[in-house]
Amino acid sequence: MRRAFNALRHNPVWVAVALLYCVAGLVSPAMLKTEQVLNILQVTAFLGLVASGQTIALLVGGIDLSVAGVVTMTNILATSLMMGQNERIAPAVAICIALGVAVGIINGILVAFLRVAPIIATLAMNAILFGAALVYTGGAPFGSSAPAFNQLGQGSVLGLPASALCWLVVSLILAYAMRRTTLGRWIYAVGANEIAARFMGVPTRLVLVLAYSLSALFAVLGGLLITAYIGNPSLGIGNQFLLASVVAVVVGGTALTGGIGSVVGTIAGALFVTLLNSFTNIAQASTGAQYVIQGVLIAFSVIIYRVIGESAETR
Amino acid sequence: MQQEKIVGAEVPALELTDIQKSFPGVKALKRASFACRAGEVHVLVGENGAGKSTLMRIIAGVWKPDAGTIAVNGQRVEIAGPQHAQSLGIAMVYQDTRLVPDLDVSQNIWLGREPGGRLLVDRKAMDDGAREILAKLGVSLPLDVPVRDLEVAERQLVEIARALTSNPAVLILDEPTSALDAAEIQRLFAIVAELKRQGTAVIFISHRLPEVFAIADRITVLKDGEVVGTVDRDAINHEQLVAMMVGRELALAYPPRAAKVGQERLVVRDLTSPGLFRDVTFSVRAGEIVGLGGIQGNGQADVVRGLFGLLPHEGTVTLDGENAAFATPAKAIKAGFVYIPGDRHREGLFMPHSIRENISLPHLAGWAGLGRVPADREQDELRRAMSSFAIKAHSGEQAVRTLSGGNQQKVVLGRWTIGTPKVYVFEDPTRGVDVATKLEIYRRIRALADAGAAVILVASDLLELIGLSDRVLVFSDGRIVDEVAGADATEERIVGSAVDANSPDAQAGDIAANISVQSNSAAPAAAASLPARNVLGRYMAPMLLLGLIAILSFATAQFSDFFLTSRNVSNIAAQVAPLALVALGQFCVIVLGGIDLSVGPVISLVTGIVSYIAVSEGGAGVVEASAIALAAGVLTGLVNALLIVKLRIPDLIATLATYSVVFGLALIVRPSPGGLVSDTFLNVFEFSFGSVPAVAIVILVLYLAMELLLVRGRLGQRLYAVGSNAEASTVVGINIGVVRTAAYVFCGLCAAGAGLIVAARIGSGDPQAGATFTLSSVTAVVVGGVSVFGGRGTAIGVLLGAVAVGVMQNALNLMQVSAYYQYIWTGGLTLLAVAGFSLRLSARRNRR
Amino acid sequence: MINKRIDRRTLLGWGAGAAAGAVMLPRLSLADVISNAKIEASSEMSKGVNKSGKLRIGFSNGFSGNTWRTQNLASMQTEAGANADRYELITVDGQGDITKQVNDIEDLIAQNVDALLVIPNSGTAVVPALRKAMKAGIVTIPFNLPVEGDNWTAFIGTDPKKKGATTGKFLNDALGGKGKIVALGGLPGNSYTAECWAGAQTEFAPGIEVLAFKDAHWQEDKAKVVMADLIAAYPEIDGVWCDGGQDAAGGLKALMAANRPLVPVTGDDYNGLLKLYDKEKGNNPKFKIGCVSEPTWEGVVALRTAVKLLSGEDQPKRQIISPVLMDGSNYEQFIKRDLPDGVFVDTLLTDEELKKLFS
Repeated sequence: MRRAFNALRHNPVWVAVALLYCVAGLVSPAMLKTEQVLNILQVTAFLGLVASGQTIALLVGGIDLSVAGVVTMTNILATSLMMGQNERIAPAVAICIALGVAVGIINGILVAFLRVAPIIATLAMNAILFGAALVYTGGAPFGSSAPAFNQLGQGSVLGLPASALCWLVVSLILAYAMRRTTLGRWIYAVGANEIAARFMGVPTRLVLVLAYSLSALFAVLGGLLITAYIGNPSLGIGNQFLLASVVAVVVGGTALTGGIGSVVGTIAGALFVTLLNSFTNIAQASTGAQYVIQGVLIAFSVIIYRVIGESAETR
Repeated sequence: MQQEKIVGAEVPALELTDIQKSFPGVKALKRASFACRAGEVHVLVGENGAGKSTLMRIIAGVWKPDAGTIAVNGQRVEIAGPQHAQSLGIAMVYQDTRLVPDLDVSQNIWLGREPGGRLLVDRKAMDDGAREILAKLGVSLPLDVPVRDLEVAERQLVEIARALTSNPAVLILDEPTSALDAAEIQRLFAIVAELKRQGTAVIFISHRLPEVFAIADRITVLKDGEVVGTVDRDAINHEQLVAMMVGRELALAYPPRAAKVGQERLVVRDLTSPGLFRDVTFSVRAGEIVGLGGIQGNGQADVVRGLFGLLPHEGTVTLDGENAAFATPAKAIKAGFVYIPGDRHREGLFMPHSIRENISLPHLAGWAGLGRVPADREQDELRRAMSSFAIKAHSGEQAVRTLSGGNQQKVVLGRWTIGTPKVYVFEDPTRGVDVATKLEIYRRIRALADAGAAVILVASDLLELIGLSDRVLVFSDGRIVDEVAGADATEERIVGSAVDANSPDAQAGDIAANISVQSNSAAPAAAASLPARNVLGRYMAPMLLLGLIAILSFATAQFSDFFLTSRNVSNIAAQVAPLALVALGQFCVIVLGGIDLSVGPVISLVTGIVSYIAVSEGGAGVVEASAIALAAGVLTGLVNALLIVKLRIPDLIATLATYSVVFGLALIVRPSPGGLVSDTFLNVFEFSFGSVPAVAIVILVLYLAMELLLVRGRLGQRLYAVGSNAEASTVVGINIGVVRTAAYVFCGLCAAGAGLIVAARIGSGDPQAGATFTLSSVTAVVVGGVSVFGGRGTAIGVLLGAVAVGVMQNALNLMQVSAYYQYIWTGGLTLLAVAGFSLRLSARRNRR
Repeated sequence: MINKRIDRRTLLGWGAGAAAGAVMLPRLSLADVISNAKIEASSEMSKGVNKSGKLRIGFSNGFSGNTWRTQNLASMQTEAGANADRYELITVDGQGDITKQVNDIEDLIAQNVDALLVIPNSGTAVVPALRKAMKAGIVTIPFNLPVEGDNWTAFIGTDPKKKGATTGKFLNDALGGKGKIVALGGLPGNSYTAECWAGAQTEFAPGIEVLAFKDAHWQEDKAKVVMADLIAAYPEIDGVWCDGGQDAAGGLKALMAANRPLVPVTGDDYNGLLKLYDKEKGNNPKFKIGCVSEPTWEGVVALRTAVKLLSGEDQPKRQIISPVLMDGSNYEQFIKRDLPDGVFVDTLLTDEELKKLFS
């Protein structure tokens, strides 16, 4: 019990998710329905996966703004390669992952070896990827994802949305790996103190490259899942993740300064952001009001995390 | 030398009584009292961590005492801050120099107290004054060279010169000789003697006893935060002083030396790393502690870093007969080679992480490869490490950040009780820990040696080095110049060897010869071509950019006849104007190491505001609209500053939050495009002289003014100083919070100004009007050669960055490059420019 | 970050009679299409100017990256290619940024173009730039999306209010004047959706209850997410009003995912919507579609109008293409079963050209 309480104390975002859910349920009882809960879980999956990857970039003290471009690229490539045929799923997915990881490696090299500031490197990469998607399609995206593949985004397993299961399973594996494997611990170490990590024998530059590759890989997974959800290509599909993925990670308690935070927190952060959107959809808030609320919540959550951190210190 | 009797002042120039100061976990000063007379050199001695630096910082106004009184010339004072201390006639020269690397010599000397008017500084007066002060010190330095290009000793002189600008009655020199060679030390002593003659009270901190006796009139000994006593130099001899410093614990302090040592374990032969150390040959036996001594920065630390695979090196190294020339720390650790760096905050600890994570980090690869860490084993090893070092914590999950200094150091050391390393290298293992912990650490180190390990000790505290080592190797200029058995070693012997090796008649190392010849011959030559060189240095990035723009323009002109028409050039000027204005504000934020994402939404919001107010024909509303718009910009800047400066939220997140809020407001004010702006408003902001848009001229003037302020203004000095070295700025009394607040407010103001221009260009309000400005302003600033890490960059560069972005867009249009490729070009060229700058920077860093 | 690219995928509509003709003939000349389309020309005329020699026509596209824009541009390029001896087409792209489009227009003016065609990112933001073009004596033709005021030579496009009224009437009739509906629009705050929606509301009988109006960005994925929330909030949804086919397709997919029967929807000539209807109408007795398109050949009309004006012919100040309804009775004539969902079927391009474009 005490442990559970402590866990909550250290993960206030879960409390925030619960509170938001209660408030939303009071305002519009529709939020309390099982279908709506499942629906929210289903659509959180896309943002959730992209944000899990973004967490890694923030944990090493960087940021990955190319996730939007990676999602768009994945969506365009996956649909054009599958052309609606089940037997093409495997090669299409493989190519998407390979290209995504290649993008991540380039980001990592720019940051780790050429020492370009992450925000600039990944931003430029985002523009290049969007341009590449336009050039590849000639502005006319084509193809569609395969029916069997669409089950990932649309189907359900044991009454739970398949997309949410994919997201939770993959993210929890990542969370476990981050805490319990050498590689994960290296990522935390590099983010907290790159110099000290190097002195402890951590191959810091490789870890940075790995971190950006993971971030891109998860953006690819998110892109694949949203493609399975909708089945069609769309050049504008990635932009929604640019801001939202960073917001989900920060609300989930990961610090921009690196080395502090968790993938589990991000899972809650993604839920929070999606829940907020869904709630404002149902409550008919204007788009402007939605942005204002989001901004206030970002500032507020960061302040809360600092207050909690400092109270732990003076304890 | 005995002139203090002439002064014979009854009232001390400075008197401290019962000063107390605590830090979390450490009582740094316990009722320390101390007085210094005018015209005397008062030396403060004590071991590391005795409280000398704390005491001096309290005098200099950097820290406030918890209790106790300070009197200057008999007047009791409360020192409010560094600037107040300076106005009281107290000046301090820091041990680790507090200079701003990106400012030049004159600017550093006068930082925080520049002569001149409110806006501009009087550069001539600065140079004249600096020259005069430097002449008083008997040196001449080029005044317009950035301090980062100076040698360490030269920087020290700049610091001393800075302290002298205030004609201080009390001058504090905190270990000023640690980085100086013998000749430089002699010169410093002459300077001190001269100051003393002029009646200055000089407080000189040192723990090199020969120096102390050479210069002191009186000596005060500090130990563990308490004053042991103050004595006249003539009333005490060397041995008595040492006894005062270390107390009776000297004999107890260090564990007995090795009775016998075993086989050679680590053998180093002809180890060389160009510019750092050369032909270093030594060996360490099992059970032996070998100390690497000499004056700091003579290659001792570099040698062990080389051995550990952190620096490239040549030569042969064997460990137990096997090749042990490691290319990376990982390989060294795997082979049983352990290096414990001295600066634990910077190099040894992961502050937010738990004790467990800190302790097990270097062992993970050994336990688990890249895979799953065995939790049971980790817990076992953690328990063992924590109990064997008696680390005091609630549990292994406690964050290291929350531990006391001593416990933190135990974590650093305890991490290596796991496994059986063969070679240990300790660098200043007891820096900043209390005496009890010190004794424990000494005992542990000796125990490691007794267990058969080879131990290398690098310590800046010579007494510690001597007390702990079985053998001491003395370094000078990257070479071993002497070897002494620990039992026979004395500070005089070690310092003597190090200094003798440097004197002109001794066989000085080739490196030393090269360095001194270079610096001697280079100085006059450099002085001659200086103005050109420094203009070149400051404007390198802008000139490269100008070249790039010229090439792009030339290519475009070849392709399109319209590019060089006055209409097109005037178009480019009008198009660049809003971006240039936002970039100017963004520059001020980025040069401080921050970023402002909220500029784009501010522009959108401003167009919305204008589209409601400046609508009636006849001119009404133009002034009101502009005023309200600018106020909105200022308000956004203030909110940003509040979040960042007061609430300490990282820049990126804080301005992300305001981005979202302001964008929301823009959508609420003007949910969809609309509201035609009055012609009067358009005419005001679109006015042009012939084909030259007036706003472009205004912005050009703003940039030139900014460049002038950066080079010659008070503002520039503050921006660069805070962005480059916030701590250095604090100690000269610059209020960092005010500077950062001003930058964010200015940035908001610029964004609002740009919003007015955009409103005139689109003639209406639009919630998406500013959408792209956030990123393009950052791009313009970065392409303009400004480092996102702060402290570096020019306004002219940023202007050219904005122009480059504008010209590129125009050129791509005129060359009819397809929209799809325009994205790729923009991203690719940005990467190219930024990677180019950062490579150039890192090349320079490596050269140094 | 945070680069909100305006995704103003435009409205499609269906040029009335063009529909029938377009399917029957393998390749229509534009003259046929236009003669079959109901185009209302204003009585107000703009004076032509006689320019000889090779003409330069500039086209400022607000952005590219959706298939309507791609098809429009491809049609214009085909048209320009066929008339290469008469004029040269110079295309610039605003990348969804309203200030870049203003810059683009200025760049075209600086290149002394004879005519300037514009699809504005914002109907108000380009006003000052177009005024400059007019002052420079350039024939200025906004099309597809209207521009405020009258500082332009000619406009070609549809009337969104009328289109909205047509789809609104369809939905009202399909529900028999009684039922609960939700509405999905385009990008937040775009005026086109607002006008369509205003037009639609005029046709609703008192028995029609509007449960919600939400922005769905003219993107299938966004529409599906928003619709899923609405399904949870409202147990009964009898109809969905959309101004775009992608919104409609996304909304229908959400209904299918929730195992709800499909209901009457409105939209445009997005092939994906027609294909969805074709596939699902058998299983859903209540499923009906009512669509009005925006022809992807508007740009070609604009080009021709420009050339006529520059040849000294007077042209109407406004040419409004009137919408006609496309529904279950005639959709078979337009659906392109072998082409991707993204195709907008009201097009001058042949299936072969479309196949090449979409590959």
